Amino acid sequence: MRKSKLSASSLSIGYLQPPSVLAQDLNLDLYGGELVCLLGPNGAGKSTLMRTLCGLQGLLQGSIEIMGRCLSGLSPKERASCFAVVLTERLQLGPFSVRDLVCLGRHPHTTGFGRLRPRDEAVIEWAMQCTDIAAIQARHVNELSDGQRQRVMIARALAQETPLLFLDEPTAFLDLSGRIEVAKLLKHLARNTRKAVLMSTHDLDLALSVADRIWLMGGQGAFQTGAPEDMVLTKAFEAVFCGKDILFDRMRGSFKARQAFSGVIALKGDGLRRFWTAHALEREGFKIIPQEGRQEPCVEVLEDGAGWTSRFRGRHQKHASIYDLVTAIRALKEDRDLSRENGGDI
Amino acid sequence: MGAEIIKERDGARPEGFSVHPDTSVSRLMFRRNLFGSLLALAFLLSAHGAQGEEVQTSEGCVSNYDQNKDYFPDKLKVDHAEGFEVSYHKHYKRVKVAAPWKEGGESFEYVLVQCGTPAPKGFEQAQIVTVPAKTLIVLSTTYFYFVEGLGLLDRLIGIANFKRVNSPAILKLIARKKIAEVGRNVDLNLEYTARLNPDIVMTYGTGNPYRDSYGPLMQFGIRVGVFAEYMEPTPLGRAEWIKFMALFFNREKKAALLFDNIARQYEAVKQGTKKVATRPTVFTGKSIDGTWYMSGGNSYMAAFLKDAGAHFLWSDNTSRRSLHLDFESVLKKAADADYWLNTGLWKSLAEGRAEDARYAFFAAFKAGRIYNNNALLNSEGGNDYWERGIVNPHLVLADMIKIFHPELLPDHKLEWYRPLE
Amino acid sequence: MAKPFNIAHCFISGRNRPSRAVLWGMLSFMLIFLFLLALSVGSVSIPLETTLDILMHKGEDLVLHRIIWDLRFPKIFTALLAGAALSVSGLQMQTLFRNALAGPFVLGINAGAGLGVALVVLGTGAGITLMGNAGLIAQLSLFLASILGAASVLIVVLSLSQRVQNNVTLLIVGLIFGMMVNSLVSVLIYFSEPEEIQSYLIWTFGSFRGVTWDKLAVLAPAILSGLMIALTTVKPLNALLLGETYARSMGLSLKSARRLIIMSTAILAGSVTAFCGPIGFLGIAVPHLCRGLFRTSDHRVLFPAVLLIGAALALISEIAAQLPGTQQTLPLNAITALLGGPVILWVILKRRIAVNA
Repeated sequence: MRKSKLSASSLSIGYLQPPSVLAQDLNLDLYGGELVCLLGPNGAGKSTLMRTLCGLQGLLQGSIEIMGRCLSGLSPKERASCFAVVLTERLQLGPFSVRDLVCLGRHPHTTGFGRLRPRDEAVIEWAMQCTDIAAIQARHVNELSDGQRQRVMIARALAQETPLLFLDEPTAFLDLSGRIEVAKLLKHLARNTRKAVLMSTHDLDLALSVADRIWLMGGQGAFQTGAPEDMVLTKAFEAVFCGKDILFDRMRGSFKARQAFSGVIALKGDGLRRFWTAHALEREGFKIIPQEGRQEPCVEVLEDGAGWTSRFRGRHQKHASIYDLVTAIRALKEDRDLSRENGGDI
Repeated sequence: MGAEIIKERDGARPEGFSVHPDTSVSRLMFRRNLFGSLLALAFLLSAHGAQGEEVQTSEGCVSNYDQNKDYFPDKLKVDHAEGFEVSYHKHYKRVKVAAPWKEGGESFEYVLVQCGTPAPKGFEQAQIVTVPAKTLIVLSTTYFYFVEGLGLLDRLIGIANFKRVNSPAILKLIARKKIAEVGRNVDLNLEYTARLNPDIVMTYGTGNPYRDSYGPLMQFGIRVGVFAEYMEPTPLGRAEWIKFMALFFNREKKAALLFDNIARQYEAVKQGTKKVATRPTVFTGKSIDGTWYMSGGNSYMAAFLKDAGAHFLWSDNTSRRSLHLDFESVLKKAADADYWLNTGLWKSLAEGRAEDARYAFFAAFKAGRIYNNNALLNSEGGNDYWERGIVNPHLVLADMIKIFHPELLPDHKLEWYRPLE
Repeated sequence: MAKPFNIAHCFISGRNRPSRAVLWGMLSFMLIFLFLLALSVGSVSIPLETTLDILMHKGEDLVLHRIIWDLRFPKIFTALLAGAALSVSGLQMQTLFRNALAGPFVLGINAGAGLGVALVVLGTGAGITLMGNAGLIAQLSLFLASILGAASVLIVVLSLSQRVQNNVTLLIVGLIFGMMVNSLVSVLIYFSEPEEIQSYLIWTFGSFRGVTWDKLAVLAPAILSGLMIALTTVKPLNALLLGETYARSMGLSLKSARRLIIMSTAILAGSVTAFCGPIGFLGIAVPHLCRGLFRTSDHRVLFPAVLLIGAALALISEIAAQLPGTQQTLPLNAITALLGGPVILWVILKRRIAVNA
């Protein structure tokens, strides 16, 4: 029986002024060693949930327990020994070195003037190692790139030495490699330090690839949880995100805009090239049908990377790239449409 | 020689008409003045008796204007005061107050036209006042004794503030409800003043348009005589402003008589100190928040101290206003000075010590040789020094001589100055 | 002297910065130097040998002796204490409100002190001038009144701060409160006599010289206790650097942190104002100077730094206001503005040291 680090029962979150309930009757658990991603549209209450769980905001109903103890019974200092946060707030600092910022994480553990003892120094070193910022520790925080700064804030949270780590959209403002870095780091931390890591994000791809569990908040208090794959199979994402314009592709695990099909086309070929050719044709508005004999319109993927051939509106063409293929077909389509407008017929 | 002139003062103050304190000398002066005026009047009347209907007294308006006639036979000579000048032009006088505050302040010009004669053209910038003015409001206690001396108490219809008045004549007018209280500067009750409709209001200016009374009054069309007597660097210069007031009432002759008297007495008193063997050293003022405000070398106080036979330690500069000094330099120079004068509001040495314990370093403090000019205060803090003291510089001088050279005036008792204990 | 040049050079180029230890050493040396300079320079020129004699109680001239011991020493200690006090409270206010232009007087405490004094004066009757010119009892009650005034404002601000979540709101409340109180004081002054206004005006110039040894016996403990309380705010202030949410997540009790900060600022700024008048610019400029010099916002470094530099700058202002050699003096606030203003501008314009906007 696993012991959860955080356990919430019948939790209702929201605001008193003006009174609004964002979600109610939630039963949640966070376990050490797991990375949980919190997903949901804006306004669903992700930030509110995180703030409530770590005590920065009051709950409306229910209870939260941290390792067996009631959250409301903890003093601020005890709470600070349980939770460390990384937020999206922009820092407004004067000159401040990276190392000094990481040292701030030791705040709940130091006394009086804030003098650092050997143990504190050791934890700080470890935090910087984990996040790979030891090389830049002498630089000023304001001179760093967004990705570096994010790692520094994570290091600070690590230095706080807490069993629970909450991150509010840590991958926002980061470029692709930055996002992947951070996600990998968090996964690694969850596993190796046995911390319970909760991060909210809009990055579904990333969540699907790294999360051990997903908490999905739909609006109006809807809440689902499970492994990412479970959520896909139970159509959880569709329920929350899809609308008449958004589709969730359960094969690929991604969202796309719903398109109206304007025609059909047969496709012949295998493998990766066929997959991506189909992708382009669908993007162009064609529904792919299985090939049966020689029919029009159709596209064939040639072997050994020799290119593509297409037969469309009586024109038989060869193309060197997908772009050529699609552009040619589009041109033909438009010609035909134009001539139809002009009264011609075929 | 000075001792012979200043005699013992009686206890009670005289009521009514008296510029000088009640000394036997002043009674003599009074009688002489009255006699002199009567004589002059008789002479004037007899001289013009032949020209019947053209009787012109200094009190009334002219009925038939003669443009060749000089309506101001008594012309002022101003010897000591630098702040105003007058020129006579047959039926009008031109008066100018050049710099009524700080060098370079706005100047004020007046054209005083004899009542019954036409106002001259071409003086749009000046204030045109018909003289003699019939009603008067004064906004500073310093002018009370000018008013009294010139015999204008019956024309006085208002003063600024009833609370700080020392002058018995004014107090009597207040008691008899003959004069109104109109306020001053920001407290000035403009509408009330306008309703009283004075011919002339006498006040001073400080150059601060938000506080000075003259601006609003003039905008209301009220004539304002701007006094700058406090800018004068000599005691007699200050007292001579009685002549400025007199100009508005055609009382030049009276003013001249009064002032000559004062000047003579002042000179007489001053004579006594010309041959003193030693001049005791003296310094003035005190420190306010780290800056010591010391009388300037060319200031009116410096003139007083010199005339009183003292050696003012800061007389070697040309400043007419106060010097801003550092406590250190004052201590260095005046630590062993004999006397210390004019210490603000102190009524006792204890007050001084409470303000700053370091005042006790001065020999004058330790020996109790500090004299402050607040001996005569009324219950609200009004200081008679600024009322009667200004018109009696010879008596103030006497006070000072009594401090520095008591042997010269054995019978004189200090009036405005008192030693601090 | 090579050292000041070196500092300036390093500061400007940002390269080859002296280590912190060297910096501390240089600053301490400078402070000692300034102390000795202030002792030997004044409107009365006293030759160095005489000064040394007097310091060892061997001088013969009583007046010079008094000048050194009773005029210069108290003024120097006052300047040191006041400079330190104002700089520390300025540092606190800048961090608490995350505002580069905050200073010791943003909470309207100074205004409260002024109002307290004005009320006492009116209460004891018309005709008594506002400050520095009043009689025996009034003098004592002036000091008490200003402390009480500052304390009252403090209490109001504190109770408001319990209710107000946001520090920015508190800042605005404090500023407006200060403005209201100041306008009340203006009204009182407006109806005063010219002599009283002159006294008040002189008070606003600020001065270290009015403080005698017996007054220092009250001022020094007040400032020292304020500094000790401020010492306990160093850690909370560091936490506050990241913002209130982070600070709370690190276990900081915002309420008690605010209470300590406001209390120490009130004591520090209030007692300096009570004895020396309102002194501007030091509280705002010195923290910036320290951040630039030590290149950090860590309050464990800044706290002692502002003590040293604040004291030094106050001494420099006092020496400059003296116009050494002449008998004339300048108002202290004019000098602190002339010295402090360019410092603030210069630090803000140096982009490399990003200051709060």
